[in-house]
Amino acid sequence: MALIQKKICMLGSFGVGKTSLVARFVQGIFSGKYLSTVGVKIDKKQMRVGDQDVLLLLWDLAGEDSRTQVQISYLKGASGYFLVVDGTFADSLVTAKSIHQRAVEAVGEIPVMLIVNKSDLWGRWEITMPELEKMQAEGWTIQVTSAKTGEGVERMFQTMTEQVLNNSAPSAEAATEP
Amino acid sequence: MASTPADLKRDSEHDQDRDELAELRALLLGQQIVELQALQQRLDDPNVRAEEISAILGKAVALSLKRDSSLQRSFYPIVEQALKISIAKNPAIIATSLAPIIGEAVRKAVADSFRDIAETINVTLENSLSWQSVKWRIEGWRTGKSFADVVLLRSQRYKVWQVFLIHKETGLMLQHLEARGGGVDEAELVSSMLTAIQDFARDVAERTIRTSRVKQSEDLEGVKLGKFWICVNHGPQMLLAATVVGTPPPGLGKVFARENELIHREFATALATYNGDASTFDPARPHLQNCLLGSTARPQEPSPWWLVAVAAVLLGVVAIDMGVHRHNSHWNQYLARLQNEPGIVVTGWKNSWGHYEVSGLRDPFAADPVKLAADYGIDPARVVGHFQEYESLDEHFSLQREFESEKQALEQLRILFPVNSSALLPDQSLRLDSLEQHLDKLQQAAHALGRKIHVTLYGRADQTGPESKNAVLSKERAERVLSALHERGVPSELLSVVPLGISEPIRHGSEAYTLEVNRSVALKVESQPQGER
Repeated sequence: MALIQKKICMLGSFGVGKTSLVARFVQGIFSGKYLSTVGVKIDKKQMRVGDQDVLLLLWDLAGEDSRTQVQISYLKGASGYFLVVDGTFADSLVTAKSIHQRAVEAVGEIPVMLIVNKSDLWGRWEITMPELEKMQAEGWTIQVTSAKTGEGVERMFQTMTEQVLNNSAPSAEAATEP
Repeated sequence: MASTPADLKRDSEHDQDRDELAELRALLLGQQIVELQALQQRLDDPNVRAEEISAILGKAVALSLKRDSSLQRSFYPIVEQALKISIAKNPAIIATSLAPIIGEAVRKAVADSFRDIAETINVTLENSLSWQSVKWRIEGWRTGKSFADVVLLRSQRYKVWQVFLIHKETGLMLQHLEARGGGVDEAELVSSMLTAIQDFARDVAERTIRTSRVKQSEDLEGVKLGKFWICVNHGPQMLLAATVVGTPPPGLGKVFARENELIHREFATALATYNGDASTFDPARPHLQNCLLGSTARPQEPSPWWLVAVAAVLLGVVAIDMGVHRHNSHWNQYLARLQNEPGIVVTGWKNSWGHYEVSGLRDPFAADPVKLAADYGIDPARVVGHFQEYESLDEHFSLQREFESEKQALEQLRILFPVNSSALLPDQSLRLDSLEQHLDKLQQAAHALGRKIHVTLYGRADQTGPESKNAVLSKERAERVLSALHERGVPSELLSVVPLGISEPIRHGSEAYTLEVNRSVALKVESQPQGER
């Protein structure tokens, strides 16, 4: 099957580890300088789901803090996005939910995954398991990761790829119907 | 026709039966009959039906559009007919609606034409008043070509190196071509980044425009970097971007615009159903090929005096080489070895009076370039290497890198346990999944490198509680992880267990975090070439 490309965005507060999550597992040619100047850095990662090869173009958007907001316009045309939070910093979840709301307003309902990073610092987590379990029950797809040890990172990209393919499947089927 | 008394009697009995049946039916099915009648009325009454359909029509259309484009195809003749009728009836309505769009497009086209004319006049003026133009007039007179033809032919000091066709909304690359043939490295990334920079430029422009009260921003049409141009042509759904070396001539933008329009026209259906599969746009390559114009041969063509100078210098170098550096064949062999050594790129070297300097790039896994000198009879102490680290694409090194990265990832993972227990918590079980994945990849990388691995599981306990209990706990924990990995398909002979008790804690101290980290199982990976014991 022909390789298909999908645009995926990484969103979240400043310093939650978005760039580190991407850095160890993807191919890139642009330096981190792009993040602070243009506000976005793009890398790619090739995945495989069944017999379908998928090239993810990962748009790593500059983090949000009290002074700057994520540039939602970069989300245009994305097939899905990751909301990255730092397990040891409860505020990052609040920011993520607010970004999510703005994202839905801008691009509608597309696949989204909540990534709770820094599982290597498990003992210091401020975000609690019951809180995450509640979100999971509300329908959120959640993946615990550690950019440091690599835990869960492959899986987060794999799950996203599957979700994005499932989301675009109906129209593809209709197109190939005799 | 007359009825006999017998007939009348039969009729009356029949009527009675019917009444009784109706009564029975009303008793048994009363509610359903009312509902059925209501349903019947809904189906029969066109007004009710129209009202009902109007409530769901919007949703039905949205669903159909999501599924496929059959609705658009069915509506297409209706819309066309409706437009015809509307224009025939009152052309003013459509004309008023289109005026703002057409006006803007016409203004832009006129402005572009004026700019082109101005540029052409500039070029012509520049050329007609120079020594160059005199030569071109002579050439025209000699070859029978018009002056304009010669100017066009000779002034093509540009070359389109690469062309990208980019999906505007997603920034995904649809096609790319490069003048020298083959692909552009990381063309997908370049395409996406170009779109991002485009968005960025527009954001900045819009911010500036808002403050200066200009109505509308325009798209970024080009960027100049020294001798290098990036020209962008904007179609409604696709961008055609090209990298150009030299000065793009006035007509080049028009070529890009024309090809982009043609691609838009030919691929309208493919664009509507685009799902990320760029191969649908393979047939657009001839259009991109048409954009690969120009030639840099002329400006880069070295003039004869320059060639003579280079030849003289080369001859001189060769002469000196033959006379003075004959004994340096060792050095040359050493350099040749370095240049062929995987993971080493030599970019410069210096050899003066028995002292050697080599510079370049070196993969951390490549051989030490300085030590290699000894193989060619050169004392490594006399060699200074200036090598910057880089990651070689050589398969052996990428495998080695993968091996090291997986090994590191494994050795950093720790499975944590609750106080006084060797039970696996659910979140740690998740971590075991990830551990198993890394182990699997590590084994594959090791196999490809011709190595075999062994993993030792070090069980630990925290410093609280009696020592004998801690020894037992640390053993149980390590064995628990071993059996959990075995359950996940890891062969047992790959693993062994070492209970450490509290003898080698990961962290020293008594705070809660330290104790938690020490109640754990950590891994250590050893590897050796296959076949060794």
